[in-house]
Amino acid sequence: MSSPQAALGTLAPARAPSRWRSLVTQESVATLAASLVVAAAVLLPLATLIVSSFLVMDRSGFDAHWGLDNYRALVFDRIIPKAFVNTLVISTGATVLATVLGVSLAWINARTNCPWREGLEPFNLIPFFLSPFVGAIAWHNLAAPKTGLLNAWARDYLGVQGHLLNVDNIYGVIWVTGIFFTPLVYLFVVGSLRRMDPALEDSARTTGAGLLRTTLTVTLPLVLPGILSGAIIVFVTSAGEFGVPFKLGAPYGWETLTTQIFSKAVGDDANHYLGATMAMALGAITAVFVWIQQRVIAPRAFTTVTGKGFRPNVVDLGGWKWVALGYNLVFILVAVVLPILCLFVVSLHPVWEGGIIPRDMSFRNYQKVLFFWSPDSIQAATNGIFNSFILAFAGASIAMVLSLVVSYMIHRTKGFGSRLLDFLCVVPIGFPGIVLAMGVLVVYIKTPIYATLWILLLGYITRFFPYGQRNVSAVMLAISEELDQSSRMAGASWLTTLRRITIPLLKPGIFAGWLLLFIIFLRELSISIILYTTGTETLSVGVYYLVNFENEPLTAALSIAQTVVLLACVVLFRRIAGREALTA
Amino acid sequence: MSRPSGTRCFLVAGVALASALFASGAAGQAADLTPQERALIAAAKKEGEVTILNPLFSDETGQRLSEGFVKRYGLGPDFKVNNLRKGTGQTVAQVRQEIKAGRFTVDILLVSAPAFFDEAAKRDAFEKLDSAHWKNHEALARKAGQYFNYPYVVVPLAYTFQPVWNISCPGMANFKVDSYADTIGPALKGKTIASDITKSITYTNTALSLMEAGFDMKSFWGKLKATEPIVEFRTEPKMQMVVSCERPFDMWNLSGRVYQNVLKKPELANVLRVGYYKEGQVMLGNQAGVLKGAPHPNAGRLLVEFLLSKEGTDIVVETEATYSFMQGYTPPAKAKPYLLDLSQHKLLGLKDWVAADDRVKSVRDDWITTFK
Repeated sequence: MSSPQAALGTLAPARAPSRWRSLVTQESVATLAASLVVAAAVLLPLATLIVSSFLVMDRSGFDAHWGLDNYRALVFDRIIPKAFVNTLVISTGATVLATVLGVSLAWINARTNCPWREGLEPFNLIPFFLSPFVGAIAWHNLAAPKTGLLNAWARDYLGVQGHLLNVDNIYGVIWVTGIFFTPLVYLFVVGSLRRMDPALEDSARTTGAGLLRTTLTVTLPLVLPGILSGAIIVFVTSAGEFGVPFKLGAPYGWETLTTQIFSKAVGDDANHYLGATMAMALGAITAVFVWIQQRVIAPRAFTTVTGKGFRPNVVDLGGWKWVALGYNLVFILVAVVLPILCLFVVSLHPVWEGGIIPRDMSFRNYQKVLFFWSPDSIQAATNGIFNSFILAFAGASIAMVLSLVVSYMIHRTKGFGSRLLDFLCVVPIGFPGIVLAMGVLVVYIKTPIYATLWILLLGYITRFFPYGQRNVSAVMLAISEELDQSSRMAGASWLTTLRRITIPLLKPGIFAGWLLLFIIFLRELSISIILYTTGTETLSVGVYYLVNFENEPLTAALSIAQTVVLLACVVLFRRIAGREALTA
Repeated sequence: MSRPSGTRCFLVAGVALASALFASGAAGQAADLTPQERALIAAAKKEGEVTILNPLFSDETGQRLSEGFVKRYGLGPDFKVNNLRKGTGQTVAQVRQEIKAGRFTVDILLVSAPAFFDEAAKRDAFEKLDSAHWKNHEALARKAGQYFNYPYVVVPLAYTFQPVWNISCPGMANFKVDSYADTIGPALKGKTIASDITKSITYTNTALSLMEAGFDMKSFWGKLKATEPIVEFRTEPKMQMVVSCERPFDMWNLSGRVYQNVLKKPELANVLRVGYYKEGQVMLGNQAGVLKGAPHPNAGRLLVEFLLSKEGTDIVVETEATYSFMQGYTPPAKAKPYLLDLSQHKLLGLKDWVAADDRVKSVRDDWITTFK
């Protein structure tokens, strides 16, 4: 009989390889690869930004030395501190506007007997899918003091002297940003309002509280976590928004951090080390707010609003229901109808002289921006259409594969790796596109992907794949782990289980996420503007190019083309993903 | 050895004739091609494309340059000319970034940025040119005090900022400019545009040239600020503001932009006006160089030759209303109404375009103090 030691001694060499084999599984290889890809994609650009922020460029622009001058410039430069303050004011203003509009519209839609509310909801959400940059262009043509159509009509028909509206200032930036981000708050709140336990409000009503008091003291506090989450996301997104302040702010003396970062990164006042420092400042602000949303506010949502399938009481507004309808219609008018109509009218003119001239109208501008075979086509526009579709299709597909693996790791595996991945998925949300793009540019400029569509693809996926991951996670959480476990116990490999059990169950979430990313990529500007070069223009870069190098009618024509494509995607998204797909 | 038969002689002659015809067709048939141009054609054709980064050429100019270039040198229908347009500072920033990274996407940089070209040339960033056409430009460019650094950097064209306004806008019917004093009158309140000199090398150099000529720019900025101008820097959006009466007067724009808008709507010729400054017009030479390490260096050199040739110059002048330093050059008739007769105007420049870079920060700081 052999001793236990001897037995262990003989077994030990045989077990070591099998332990290694058990570690090297399809699952572990895939998850390790995904972790490395995500970590590299997210952390490399940010680490590079941090390092770059301590480099000081010399006067020639060719050399640099280590120092803190860039951080001093954040405080003592004549423009940057003002840009910083403007950014905070714009973000705060847009957040307040979007919150007031978003909460009120959500309440009207979810809790009142406002006529046609079911039909109005898709229109309330349209601005979420459109480009805020295009919205800014449209509103400039609607409400520029001298040339805006609304002001012209006010002068002609109401006898107004001077102008009625002026969006070419910080208030215009707040207005356009606010109305375009209203759906973000709406989406965060409307789901909570629909799922609210009616007994809570009933108790208030039976104790004698009126509608207003019940709404203010019971309903709104109950959905407060949703409101705060939406508000923080609007604040962060507004701080990182580039297109609106570029069009309505910077030319009129209202620089923001994003317009300054752009100018310093690749713009006409280039010092990308200083740009990196400003990016760090902006990234730090947004990261703090995202952290608050993720760690403090979001968990509270589950303690105040139950997850049960309640159908809350519908509040009878009486005659006020028509006021509610009018309010909702006015929002749709200013956020969707007027901007699109205005762009279309402007796009039909050869040059925009500030008024409608019927005899000048034609579709010639569409020929220039759409018909790539036409000899007078504008390449930045036609290239942009092709490239955006390629990027949107490839980007959404790759991002969803990554999202699937990452979601699986986070929700189906336990331990440090999954927590780290969860954290890495939050990081890109905390950093505005323009900040992340700067990091990507600096990291990859010496590689073969510089000046190709690949670098744009990398930037897009890094910044936005958490959106897709969120969609997949939402569905994955609703699917019991036991289904996976049964498959594995029956002998199926991880890959087979994923292919035959998990993915089919996740299909709706995957497809909704894919379409959402497709739409986001089609209108993306902040990353593209930093990373594009000749031949790799995107749709939004095409619009930017036309703003800078052509005229308003051509800009409007491409903006309309982009809007039409996005609206078609919205319809498709609603059909596929359903009404509740985006609600928090 | 037998003598060739009659039929064979005929065949040989036919092949020779066909070859000659083919060769002349392939070479674009410009009988006036220089040996330097001929030496570059085959390599350029093999490279298949060329990219020029510049702040000026419109899509139409790019298209016409491409057609003219391909035709002159017989480069074939597949040859591609990429015209990449960005702001003056932005072009310099991109090229500087590419030089530092040693990774190039453009072949030629064409922009008015003497200090940058000088610094980059010191760092051996440009290919050596062997130009046959440069000799026709050099004397006038030197006389006009322009920066160049042949055989690395040449000056194919120049432009000057002029006052542009729209007489159809309210209060502008009798407006006229021939002095900087005319641009800051109280009647212009809310009608002006201040060109953002912090984002443009050419605006900054225009300001520096005026200062060197004794003009008090700092006090002028203050007076311009009093007119409550919009701050913008690209000439195209500024022109849009003038056309739409959003801001009917722009003190620094390009006559070429007026011309391009008139092409889109001919009636604009009746309302858009271009003036000049008696204090002096600053001539801003645009330097060009082929980047060392560029993906298409031979096509780049050939395109620079084309820009210096009469044919290339005609295209640029006709579409952009720019100026050329070519000896005895007569601009195309179409562009003439938009060009100043330089012999009738006081021309300004900088004594040392490269050294002037030392003063860029202070003049920009003054501007920022006033406008930001």
